Amino acid sequence: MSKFRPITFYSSQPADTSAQYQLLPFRFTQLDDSRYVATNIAGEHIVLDPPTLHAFVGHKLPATDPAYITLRARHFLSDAHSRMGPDLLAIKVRTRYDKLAYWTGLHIFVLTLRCEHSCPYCQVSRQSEDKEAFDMSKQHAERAIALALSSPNPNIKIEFQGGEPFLNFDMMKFIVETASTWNTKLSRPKNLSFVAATNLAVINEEMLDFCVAYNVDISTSLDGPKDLHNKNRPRSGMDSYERTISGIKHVRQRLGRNKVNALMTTTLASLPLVKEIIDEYLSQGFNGIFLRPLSPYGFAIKTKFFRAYNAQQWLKFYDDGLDYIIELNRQGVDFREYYAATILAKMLTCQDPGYVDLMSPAGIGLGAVIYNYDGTVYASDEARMLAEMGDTTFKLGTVEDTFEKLFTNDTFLTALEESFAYSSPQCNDCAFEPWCGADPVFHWGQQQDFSGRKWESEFCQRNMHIFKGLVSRMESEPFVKNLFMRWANRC
Amino acid sequence: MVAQFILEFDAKSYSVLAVQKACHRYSGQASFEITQRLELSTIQVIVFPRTTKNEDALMQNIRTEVLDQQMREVVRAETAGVRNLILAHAFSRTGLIHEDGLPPGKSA
Repeated sequence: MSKFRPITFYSSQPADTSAQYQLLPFRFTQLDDSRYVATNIAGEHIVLDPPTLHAFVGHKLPATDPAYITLRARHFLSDAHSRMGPDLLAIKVRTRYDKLAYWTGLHIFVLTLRCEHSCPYCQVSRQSEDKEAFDMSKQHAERAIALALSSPNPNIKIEFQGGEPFLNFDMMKFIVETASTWNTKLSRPKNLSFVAATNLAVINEEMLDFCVAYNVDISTSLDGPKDLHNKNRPRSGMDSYERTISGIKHVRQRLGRNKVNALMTTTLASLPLVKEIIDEYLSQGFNGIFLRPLSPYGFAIKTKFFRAYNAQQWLKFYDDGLDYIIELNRQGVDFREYYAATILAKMLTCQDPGYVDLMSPAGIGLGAVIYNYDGTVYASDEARMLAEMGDTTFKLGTVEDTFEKLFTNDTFLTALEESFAYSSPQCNDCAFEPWCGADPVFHWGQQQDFSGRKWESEFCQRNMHIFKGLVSRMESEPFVKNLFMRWANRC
Repeated sequence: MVAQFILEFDAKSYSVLAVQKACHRYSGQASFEITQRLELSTIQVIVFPRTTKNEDALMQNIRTEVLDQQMREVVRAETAGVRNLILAHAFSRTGLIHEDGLPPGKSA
């Protein structure tokens, strides 16, 4: 018996307007005045005009309509030719949420609050270099390592943050060596990796030797061209840019070309300079850039940097940057915008890249957990920043607690439940929900509400604009659609 | 003071939930008082705009949104069974649910 249906089966599409089909779960949202975006439960999408959408929902869409074939292929409907639709959708949903079962993979250790930079937009309440009271102790570090290795996740990444983590290099060495040793003694050793988030200003040969020996990746900050970077990131000598660039070159020589990544932060001074910022990343040999707005925490609030520009101004900056990057690709330059690439992976593949801000259930605790210098455990990096401002809502406990106690914390579970986009007002109806996330820390910080009132939410405003922009760009030009497909599959 | 206006929807064509959800979406631009008038088979919405700007556009947007919300209800009701089946199937072997109620990776 053949495993395949005969060819006549596929050529015998019902030609009349009374095709019998069953709707599969989907949501729709207006893209613009003349189009809707519809997404199915696994996040696949289609763009429809209003008459086609109404006909489809009313079971009046003819099987001969081109949209019908796409709706069937993307599991928006099942008919006599596609009874497998619900099963295939279930497999796609399962793949999408696969990471949930593994629990926390990213464990962030705040080694010190000391920093020799004095960036006015800093999200952390940094301390001057000589205050060792703000360093992590060995006792706290050991407990935190034990907690990190208790996670059910087979892939554990330990990230060092500060302040400037290399100012407490002895503790970084201790943690890397201890975690590596303890890991070998586990009955099922983890796939353990390390990354240090550093401004590269104080890195030296001894530190680089250590990073080579233990395969420690480097994540640094580069805000753009020299003048902008040094203005945004002041330090004694006003040589942050020179030190960062020299550090990037040095790390590449010692660790390898792909062992260093850079992140930028948008300030008011950055807004007219998006092309110059992208050009700086290109000239430093990076393959992409993550265009990031300021976060509303720490010094960024105190110094009023966060309110220096609004969501609309930042979105204009983002759109200009994205269009410039598309234009560069059209000219043969292979370069990506990483936030778009992350969203596109959610839009165009069944994989969820696990970016904490775009996870629902929220990525706090589930995607990442923070061990602060003083032994306090927070549900996310932003949660500890909020705590530095006096709001400890997202404190899970301390490193002395058990793994189970930390992750069954009432406030944490309530925040997860209340912000779950699948059942949150407005998000529940939104076609972009499968691509979006819940950000209870942001919404709590801004509105004292885990879920957030969406009409006031900059998170919602920003992401809705970006989702619509990505879909519109793909719809308007095949080149962009192909480019975005490549970004999605390399994310 | 900004003038209020009234919208009416046929209760045979639209549910109160659809009207409520549509109003909720525009809560940033107006506040609402929703009344079901059984004797007239209508749902009445008194709209209190926050500003005088774009009142016509607001009225039109609410009407479009009510229609969208009603269609969403149709889709939701019609696909409830299959949606639950898909989700049950999707999470059936994730290890997130343990028969003893213990977290993944922990045995009794």
